[in-house]
Parts: sequence; structure tokens; C-alpha cells
Amino acid sequence: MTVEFPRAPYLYREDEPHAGPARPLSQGDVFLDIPLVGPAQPHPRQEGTWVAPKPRTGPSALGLFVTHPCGSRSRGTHALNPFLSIAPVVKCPTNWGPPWEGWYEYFPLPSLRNGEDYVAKLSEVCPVPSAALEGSRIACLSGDGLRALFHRLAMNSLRFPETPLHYGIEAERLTTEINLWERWTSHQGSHDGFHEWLDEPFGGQAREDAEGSAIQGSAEPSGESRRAVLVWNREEVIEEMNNFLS
Amino acid sequence: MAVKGVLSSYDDVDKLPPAIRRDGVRVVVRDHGKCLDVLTSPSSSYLLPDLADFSLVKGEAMHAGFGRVMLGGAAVRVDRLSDQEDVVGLKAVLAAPSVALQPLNLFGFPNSTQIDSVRAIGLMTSSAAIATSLAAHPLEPIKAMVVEEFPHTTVATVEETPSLEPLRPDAPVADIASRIATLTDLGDEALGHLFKVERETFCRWRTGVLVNPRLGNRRRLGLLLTLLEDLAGRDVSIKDWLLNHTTVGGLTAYQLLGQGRIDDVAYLASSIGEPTTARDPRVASGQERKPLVFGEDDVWEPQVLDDER
Repeated sequence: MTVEFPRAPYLYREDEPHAGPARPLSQGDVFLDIPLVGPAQPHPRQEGTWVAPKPRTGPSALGLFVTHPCGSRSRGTHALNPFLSIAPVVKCPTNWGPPWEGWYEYFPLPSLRNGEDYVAKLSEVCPVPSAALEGSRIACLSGDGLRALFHRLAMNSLRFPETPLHYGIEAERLTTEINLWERWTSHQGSHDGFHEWLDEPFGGQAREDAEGSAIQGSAEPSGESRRAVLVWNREEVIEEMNNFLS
Repeated sequence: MAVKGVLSSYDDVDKLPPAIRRDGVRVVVRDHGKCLDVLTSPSSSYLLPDLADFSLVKGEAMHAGFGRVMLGGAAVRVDRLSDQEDVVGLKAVLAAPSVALQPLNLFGFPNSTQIDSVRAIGLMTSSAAIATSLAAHPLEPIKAMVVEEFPHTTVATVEETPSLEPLRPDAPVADIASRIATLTDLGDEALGHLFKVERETFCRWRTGVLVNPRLGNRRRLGLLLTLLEDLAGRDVSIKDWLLNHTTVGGLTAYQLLGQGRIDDVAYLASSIGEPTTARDPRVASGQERKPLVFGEDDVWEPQVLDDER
């Protein structure tokens, strides 16, 4: 089964409520005015010599964060790696559009800016210092958008045509974790303590009576961490965070 | 052996060749990888070899009671396939999740009246005085089978698992819960455990008596259905996989679901048919990776332009 491109690929976009600095940078984020490095080119006068093009910066320098958090952050401190894999984003070719068939080296970003379609060039991914991304984000992908990105990445790299359930579940897990992380940082002023809290034991899911009401005091810890049950017990984990932060 | 016809889905049952001999029609009905046979006969026993491969529906099925049948506590809907005098077979559909249908101790309840019990496949133990006796047994999943004509017997097979129509995005709770029950073949208690509700509550969701699960459980119903439909699409025996497949951590997929680890289950499901894989435990534990040491070739020198030389 292949993925139909989602109708709502964005969680935030520049012209919609913008993702604030409290939201951690993550896979699927789009940035503006960041230093992008292009492929080396033959030296115009010295045969056999290659030169790097001038790094692209400024208002035309857009890029998409393509790496999963597990590969772009420290597993211990959760700080961003010094360099991140960013796909350059350019305006969509005039001869390509919905339903975005083929051309798997491009990930469509419809109506990204000023109603114009853009594409991320997955075959031109380049390293960008993570410090250069701070404060430059203009859009975040939604869970559906992330799932579509996973599909494009797999198609471009492996020509793997299917969309395993894992893609959708992982997109939801990732979105939920980043949402919680953002909420924590907004409330606490820093992300300190968030991951420790997320790794604490989950308090359990309350039993539900026939009337559709939670039975108070019926939740039993399953021995799993909150992080391990983020997808299945999203509502309960959010409630635990609300209680913790209140 | 003459080919008489092939059933490709339940919908094709009416296309069975007419004028079936009254003395018997063999029908195998596959339902999500499980072959469910419905047998009916006034006889006290069946010839087991005849039942080893195919279901046998005797011509006298037309005399049997059509209606609701209970098998080992599981409801099975039995429908007449033909209104003609020559009944060509019966359709048996698991109408409710059941415990595993074992060949032993199955009971027939045509029209809510217990009339028979079965000790082994097709072998009845109680008095066979009642003409409308019914028995059923499951067989191992069978792939495609040939349709053959035997003396005094017509064989018809269902080659493919009947496909279930995808549920609409706005499907009610009852449809989702029913589909989950059908796909998993698990009982209300086992399914209720996953959602932290009583058996009766899940049963009422499934039957539409209750339509008010909490928001979280509504989402979880959809989430689990997505997982199950993914498995069903790959012709996986879902119940067996959920209950029998033991993961690296020693838990079954069902137990993992019970602990809320659907992402791990989805990860496992993605490797069905492949060698068992496990997620990198260091990711979950937050264990820092030991930095790799690269050589001198892993250095980017500052660009020196011609003009600067």
C-alpha cells in the first residue's frame, strides 16, 4: 500500500500559528535562512580540481530536517548533534504537482510559503550546524506529514514501496513526544527534567465503567515507562503531565 | 474428476452449479485463515477421511435448522445458501469472537436448541435420533484447493479469504469493535483487557448497546484496528500471532498490547515473515553511544579561493 499525500501535512506553518522556540527541533521541521552546502563543481579553469559552491544563505536558503531524533540527538543528554542532515528546499518545479507521483527524490511541501508549493531535495541532503537552525524554523510536519516523509525517504533510498504500520505509529509517537516536550519547556522554561520524567514509570490506565467514566483509583502501573506507552496511552500520559505541571 | 465450480467469496455461493446431488456437497469456507466447516446429518457419525480435507455438507442439510448455532460458546451464524430444494451448502460465519474452536467438545444449538455434541471431528457421541443434528469443526488454513467431483459428491472450495470492506473513517464504535473481534478471534474478556474495561462493556461496545467509550479508548479502538487490518492484509493468522509469538523480551504480542506497547507490536509486525528482529535496546534506555574515531580524511578544510592566494 502506498501513501496518499496527506491533506494536512503541517502541524505549524509560517502563516499559521507558528511553532515557538519551546518546541524542540525535530524531523520534518523546515527552516529559513540557514547555510546550505551544495555539491562540488569542476573548477572553471583548473582541470581536475573541484570547488565547493558558495554556501547558500538568506531568504532563498530553506531546508528540511530529515533525520530521526534517535539519529540527530544525544541519547544521553538529548541535545542536538553538532551537525544535522538537512535537505535543501526550493520552489516546486512547475511541471510537478499533486498527487505528487514519482520523483521520489523530492518531498513535496505544498503551500509552504505564501501559498506556493516547495519541494525538499532528498538527494542533496547536506550537513548544517545545529546552531544555525535555532530560531529559523518556519514549519513543522504533522503526524501525517511525517508518515509521508518516512515513505518518501524509504522510496528514495530503497525503493521500498509499502508503508508499514510502523511508519504511522512512529510518526504518532514522535509527534506526541515532541508535543509533550514543547509543553514542558513552555511551562518550565527549559527542557531540564523532561526526559527523566518521561522515563519514569507510567501510572497506569484507569479502568472504564459501562457509562464511559474512569473508575477513580483503578489505574495500576504496568511497569512500563511513560515513554514506552506514549502511543497507546497518550491521553493518560498527557493527564499525568498536566497533574505534574499544575 | 470434473471441475464443478470454484467459490471465490461468500458472494459467489449462489453461483454453485445447480442440480447438486442430494447426497452431499463438500464445502470449505475460509474465514480469515480459519477453515470452518459446518456439518449436518442425521447420521450418528461421519466418515473421518471425508472430513480431513473438506467440509461435508450433506444433502439433508436442507432439513437442518437454519439459524443461530453455538459452538463452544461462540456464536456462529449459519445461513442457507440456496432456497432451492437441492441445498448446496451452508455458510458459517463466526459472528462473535470465540475461544479456540477445538475439535473436541463442540456443541450444536440449531435454533437455540442443543441437539448434539461432538467428541471428535465429525464424530458424534450422543444419540443421533434427532434428524437436524449439526456439528462443526475448524480445519487448518487451506490454500487453494481443486474443485472436484467425486461419486455422489460435489466439491466446492473457497479459494480466498473473504475480504472485509474497509470501515469508513466515521464508522461507529460497534463496527470497529466488531471488526476487531472478527479479525482477532478473541473473546470479549480478552479484548476488554486491552482497553481496561469489563467483558460486558466490550461486548456492549461490539453490539452497539454502549456507544460511549472514553475519548482515549475511542482512539485506541481505531489504533488497534489499524494494526489488525495491516496484519490481515498480509494473511497473518492474527490470533495465533498475538497469542503464540513470543518476543525477545518473553512477552507475546498480546501481552505487549496489554501493557500499552503498541509501537513495539507494530515494529514486530513489520518483520513478520522475516527473521526476528529486535529494537536497539540502547535507544530505549537512553544509553549514550561510544563515539567512533575517524581518520584524518574526515576533515573539512576551509575553502581557499583563487583570489585569496
